[in-house]
Amino acid sequence: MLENEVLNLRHQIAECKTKLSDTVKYEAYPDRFDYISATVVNNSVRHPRNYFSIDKGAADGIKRGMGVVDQNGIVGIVNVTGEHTARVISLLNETQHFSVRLKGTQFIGSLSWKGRDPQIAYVEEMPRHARFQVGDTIVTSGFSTTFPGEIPVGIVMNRVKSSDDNFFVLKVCLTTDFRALSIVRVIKDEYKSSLDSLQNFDFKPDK
Amino acid sequence: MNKEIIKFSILFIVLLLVQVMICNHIAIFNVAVPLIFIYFIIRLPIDIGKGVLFTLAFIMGLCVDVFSDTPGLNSLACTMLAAFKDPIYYAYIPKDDKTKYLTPSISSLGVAIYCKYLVSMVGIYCVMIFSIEYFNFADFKDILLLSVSSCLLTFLMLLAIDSLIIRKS
Repeated sequence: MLENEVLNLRHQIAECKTKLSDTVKYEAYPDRFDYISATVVNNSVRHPRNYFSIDKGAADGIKRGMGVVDQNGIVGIVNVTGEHTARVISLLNETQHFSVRLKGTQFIGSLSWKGRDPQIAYVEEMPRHARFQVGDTIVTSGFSTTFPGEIPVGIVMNRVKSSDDNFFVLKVCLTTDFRALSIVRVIKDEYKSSLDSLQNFDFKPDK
Repeated sequence: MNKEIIKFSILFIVLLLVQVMICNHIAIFNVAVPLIFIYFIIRLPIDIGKGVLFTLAFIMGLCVDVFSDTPGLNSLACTMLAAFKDPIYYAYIPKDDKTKYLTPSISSLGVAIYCKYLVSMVGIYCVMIFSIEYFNFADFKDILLLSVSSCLLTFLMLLAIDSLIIRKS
């Protein structure tokens, strides 16, 4: 009787664990990152350099350079802030690059959008020896103070020809539907100032 | 003359509103964008004078720019289109009597000449706007694809607008 109950509880724990591992945890570092939710008030996807606007600004604690995500993945970086509004450089902007990682591996690449199709982007500078399969997930690398790690970005579609033989270029289907952006969250990194000042500090040992 | 001014003011406002509220958000197959506001420049009478034509074209472009977050792209392209308007117009109309045809429309020019004039103007505008927007010859294929598809779509939509106006009058 008791044994049965224990087995039952163990089964439940295992079930909960698999459920948890399937959902995306944004609160990877609960103390480090804070989120400010905002509504998209203007958006475009058809230009080579797209921007969108949100209804939160400097008065709500939004600063230039903060990352922006929605429920599906990353969407952009804050460019200019007003008192109660902000302009965000969309991921769909040819000038923008994002540091990304093949999920479950240590292989880092650089994600950029090449224009036209709002669903397709490319990951460049993937090392040649990286093993991947179609359908693998691309996530943020977490190497910047803009985005935490492990935020989904897209799904690998296939490998495309690269100009450099030492690196792959992967074609990626973005998880976010940029034509239907509505509620987004702006990421505030509590460690940003200390990390930035540390990285600028060049320690020279005495002779 | 006053009637003409009122007619073109209404055309200006209607085209601007339809462009910024509806057409700016359309991109069929992610390539074909309807740019119907240039219909205003296409339809302006030939004899209004260069200064007025350039100013009106610039204002039209500026208004579209203001509403679609583009820093001066449409103003530049519209002003250049105004500069191309007269040469293209005179290239297509019969040489014998130039004073006979002063307003570009289907009824005054005939379907064949009007369509040639329309497709040339729309084509030039599409090539200009996408070249200015990309501003990079590496994207030549993209510019060409966008221009051709947008030109086709805009041309069809302008013919549709023409038929609406004719039915009304």
